Amino acid sequence: MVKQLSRFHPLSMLAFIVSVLAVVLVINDPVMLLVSLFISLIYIFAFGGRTVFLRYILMTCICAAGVMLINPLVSHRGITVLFYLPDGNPLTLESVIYGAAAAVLISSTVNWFYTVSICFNSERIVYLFGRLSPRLALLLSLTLGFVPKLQRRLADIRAARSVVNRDFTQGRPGERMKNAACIMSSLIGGALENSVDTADSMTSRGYASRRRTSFSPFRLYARDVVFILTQLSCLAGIMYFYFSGKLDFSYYPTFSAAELTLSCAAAYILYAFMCSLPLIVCMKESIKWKFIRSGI
Amino acid sequence: MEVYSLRNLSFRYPGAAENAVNDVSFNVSSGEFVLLCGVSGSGKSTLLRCLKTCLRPHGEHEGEVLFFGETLDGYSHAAQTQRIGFVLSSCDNQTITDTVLHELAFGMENLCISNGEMKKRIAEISSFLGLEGLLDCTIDSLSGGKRRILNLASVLIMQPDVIILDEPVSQLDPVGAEEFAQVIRKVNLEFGTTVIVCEHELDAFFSVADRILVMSEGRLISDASPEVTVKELPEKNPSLSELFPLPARVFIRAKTGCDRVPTDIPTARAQLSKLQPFEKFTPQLTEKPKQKPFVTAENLFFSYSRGSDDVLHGANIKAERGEIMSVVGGNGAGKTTLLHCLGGVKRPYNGKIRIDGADPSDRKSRIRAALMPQDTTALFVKDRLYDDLDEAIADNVSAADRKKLIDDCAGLCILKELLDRHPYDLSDGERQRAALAKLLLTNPQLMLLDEPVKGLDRPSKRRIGELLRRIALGGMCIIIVTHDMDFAAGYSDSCTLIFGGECTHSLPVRDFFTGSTFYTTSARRMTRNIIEGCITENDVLSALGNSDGDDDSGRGTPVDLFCNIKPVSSKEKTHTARPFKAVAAGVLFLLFLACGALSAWLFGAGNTAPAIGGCGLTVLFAVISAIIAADNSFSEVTVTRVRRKRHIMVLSLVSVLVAVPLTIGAGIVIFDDTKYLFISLLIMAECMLPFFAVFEKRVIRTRELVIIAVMCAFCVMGRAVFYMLPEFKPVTAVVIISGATLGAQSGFLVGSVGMLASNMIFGQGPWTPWQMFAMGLIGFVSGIVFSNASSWKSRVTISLFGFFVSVVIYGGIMDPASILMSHLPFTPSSVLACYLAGLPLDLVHGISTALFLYFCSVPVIKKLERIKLKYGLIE
Repeated sequence: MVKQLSRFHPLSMLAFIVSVLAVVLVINDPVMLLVSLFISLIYIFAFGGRTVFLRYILMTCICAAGVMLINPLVSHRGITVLFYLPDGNPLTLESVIYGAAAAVLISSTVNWFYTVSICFNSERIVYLFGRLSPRLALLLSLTLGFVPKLQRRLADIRAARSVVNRDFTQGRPGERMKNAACIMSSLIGGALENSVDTADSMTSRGYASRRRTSFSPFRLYARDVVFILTQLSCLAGIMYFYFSGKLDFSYYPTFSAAELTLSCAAAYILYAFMCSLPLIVCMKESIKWKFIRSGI
Repeated sequence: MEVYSLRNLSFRYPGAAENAVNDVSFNVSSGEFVLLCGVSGSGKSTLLRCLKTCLRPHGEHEGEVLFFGETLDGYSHAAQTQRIGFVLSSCDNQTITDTVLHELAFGMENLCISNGEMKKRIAEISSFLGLEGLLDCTIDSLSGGKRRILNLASVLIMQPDVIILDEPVSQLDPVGAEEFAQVIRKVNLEFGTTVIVCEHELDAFFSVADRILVMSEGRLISDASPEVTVKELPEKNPSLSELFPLPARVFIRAKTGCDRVPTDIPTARAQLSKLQPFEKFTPQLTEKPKQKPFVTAENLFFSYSRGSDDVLHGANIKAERGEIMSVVGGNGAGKTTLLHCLGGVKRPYNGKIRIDGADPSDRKSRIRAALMPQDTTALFVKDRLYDDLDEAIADNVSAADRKKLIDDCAGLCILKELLDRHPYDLSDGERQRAALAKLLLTNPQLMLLDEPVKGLDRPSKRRIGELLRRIALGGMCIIIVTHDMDFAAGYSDSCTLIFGGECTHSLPVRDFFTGSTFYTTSARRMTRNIIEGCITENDVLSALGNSDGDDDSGRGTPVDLFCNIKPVSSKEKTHTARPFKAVAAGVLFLLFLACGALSAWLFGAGNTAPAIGGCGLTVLFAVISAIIAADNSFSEVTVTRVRRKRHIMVLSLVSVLVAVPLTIGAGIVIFDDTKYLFISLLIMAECMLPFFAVFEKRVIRTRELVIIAVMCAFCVMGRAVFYMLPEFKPVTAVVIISGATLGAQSGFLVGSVGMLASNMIFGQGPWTPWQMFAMGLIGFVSGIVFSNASSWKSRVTISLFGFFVSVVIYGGIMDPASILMSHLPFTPSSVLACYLAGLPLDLVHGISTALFLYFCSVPVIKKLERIKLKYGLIE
């Protein structure tokens, strides 16, 4: 499944994630939030398997419980007073419900970022930044290239020093700090000296502050274009419903009990479709594979 | 067609008394394979660098370099990039990006080649050089040999007319070296690419090359085919015959009377077998009394994590005092891991290690071991070799003894003249000796050396070998991991082969090398079945009846540096008393912390008036401690400033004055002032964009860009290393130092890109833009605050500053961000509650930043300044 998701062009994935998150950030309609949470959990289950799913469920519950509890304690808006707190402030039904909505919102946001981490490996992030600023992409790429070099060097330094009891995990606290400083300055000194070679190598291979093309291993297929257009039109549709007031849901002073009109339902379905489109495409491919294999 | 013609080229480094390259003239024709050799310091690398304008070092040069008949400097940078491929000597440092694919594309991107063409060339070159399966790998996961081939591929892909290689194989193991030499040969023969190689490990190239150029003291002293060179050079300059491959060396010194001197092993064998039949060579051995083993390791099993493959699989090893043991074996056989286990760095999950009867991983035991890593620069931490050697000596040695020890040790390791040099400015051979000296000064009983002679030329290897012999004679046990069979045969007492994590056999060195066919020395390969029993060059020479060969095995006088040194008990220890000022500043700093916490608490409790008083006190304490602390700990560091144009100010001002109010207005109108998160994200983007826009457009030196990248990578590392301590991380300290030394813009970049890149590893989230913004701002602010070199006087000031920005800026942004992210109501009381809740972690963050800055800022800034001065980053 992860492989199939990585067949999408990074721009398609960007369009997908941005539209999904934009809707959650802007529209706080409870049904919309629930749809978002539900589908994000499906993604986690589909791409991460059971252990990751359970871990996320646990994490979601803890952080949701926190927000749900804190909100009614700090916010006293709303008119349906349930009871009064010891400090004399009212605890209102509205603030409890708003807390619950916020909890759903934050956990679905966190969940969506799991999908982000699946869709965007460093290669794709570097590509996306490269579209905006090639030099920033190069800087990122250089940084990511330096990290393992530094890690190896750090391991070397620590090995040599821990034999003579001078690692930063050895000795009294003061000594530890001194050892840490020694290790840090040695690490940085070596890395800086070596970086001059890197710069020479860049110049020798023609890098100069001027225009350069940027290599991309990704190809924008027709289906990516269709995908992006679908996502954006769904987003536009939902935003249309929102700005025309069909999805106005307010929690305070009391719930403006929005009735489930046809346009509301349309917006929900549109959103659910938008969120699950990549999943549908991947599923379709999986099923096709099964079909082909059984045909053989 | 002449590719290169050099006419009387001379080069002199600035401030040097003599020319590094002196009046050199030669031609290289198209399709030729030219090998440039000479002892280290003969100017061959400098000469090579003069063949490409952008790599030519700073200095005066005379004479002409013609490239295809026209002067080299007349070619544009792009033309030179495309036509002259240059592979630098360091394998790791010249890779630029993180993945193989991008590394290959890098040069082509600079030449503005279209995406389609790039893909085509990558496909071609990767199938030619066998990199197909590795395109998506990170460069870090490649083996040394493959990385070398990648270096070559990323240059070849630009389809150059000539490739120049600076010491391409000396860092590789024999198998990798052989493979790489084959590839270069193939490129030369099949593409007709002209090849110029500079190398001191000549065995791989000598017989392949069309021409050998020999340099000595900056002059070109020989320019002829290999056969002619081996014949004529020894007559002109006998000492330089040491450069030749072993067969040539032996035949020249043995004076066999053959008219042709062989340059490779097959010819040498053919010629040897034509001579009279030889008897088995039996050297005179001095029988050593059997001792109790000093180091024993039994059935070691080691793996990096549960379930992963074993790196060590039942390894056994035994070594005595005064013994030099070589451990040989292929790449990834577990040699280095074995060394680390013996040093107690890694703990085997099964098996027993005893060194002098104690377990090395038990820190309380008094075993003294010392480990030399492959990259010896990892051992050096100071700016002067003397200080570095001093750092190695235990604290309980008195000042006079320290000086004596360092002097003795420097004399022993031939470092006397180098004590004032920067460790990184030493040549390879000098650096290895300095590393040995540093190990010796820790007074070890056991020395563990990982590839001590890798990449060294023959004289340097001999010096190291003789030094090790003398040290071992003093009763030290030395265990060496090496790929260099000739070195192992020449200088060790016993040898162990490790294969697949297991020690297959361990024998006295003679039995080991005469008994094995593959893992053996070139002398043995040359004489096998012709003269039995020879394993070193000197053996062959003695067997051939030549006695005037210098005796490598001669053992010098034993060494015992520490025989007259008596440890001072810890009370008498020469302790430099802390200056009063620092203590006072520290106390005031604590008071300031207490006041800050108190006033924050008062605010929280609603007592506004006393809280304001508390704030006043806090500021007072901060100011006083800063003034008191204005000692001169930075007087030795002069911070130079990288000048910048003021685009960034104008752009950010415009953005803040125009775009931000507009965004807020739009937020109020469109979203009824309820979408704080959305609006705040937009505002942050607006604040950050000008920085990135300026970064994209401004002229930046490549070296500066790379240094920024190093600092970003350092941020990532800081988060990774201290991941288990919440908020206790050196990241902010690194960002502040970057801002202070590299300027506000670079400070911003280091902060924001560092956070972005580290989140690629630790997980992106809604928090990423906030962290980028907060860290970037810290870098920017410290750049502005410390832009004036006179405004900072002490490391206490910078530590205080670090504490303030960590708490005020980072905490000040990240705490309310958590309200926005969790959609809690954004009211003054909720913000205050959030600050109070976040205060403990903010304080930890602030204190850790202050501590890191206090201990690290001076050395790190010194290092940055050195780089800036040495490589001319300041206009």
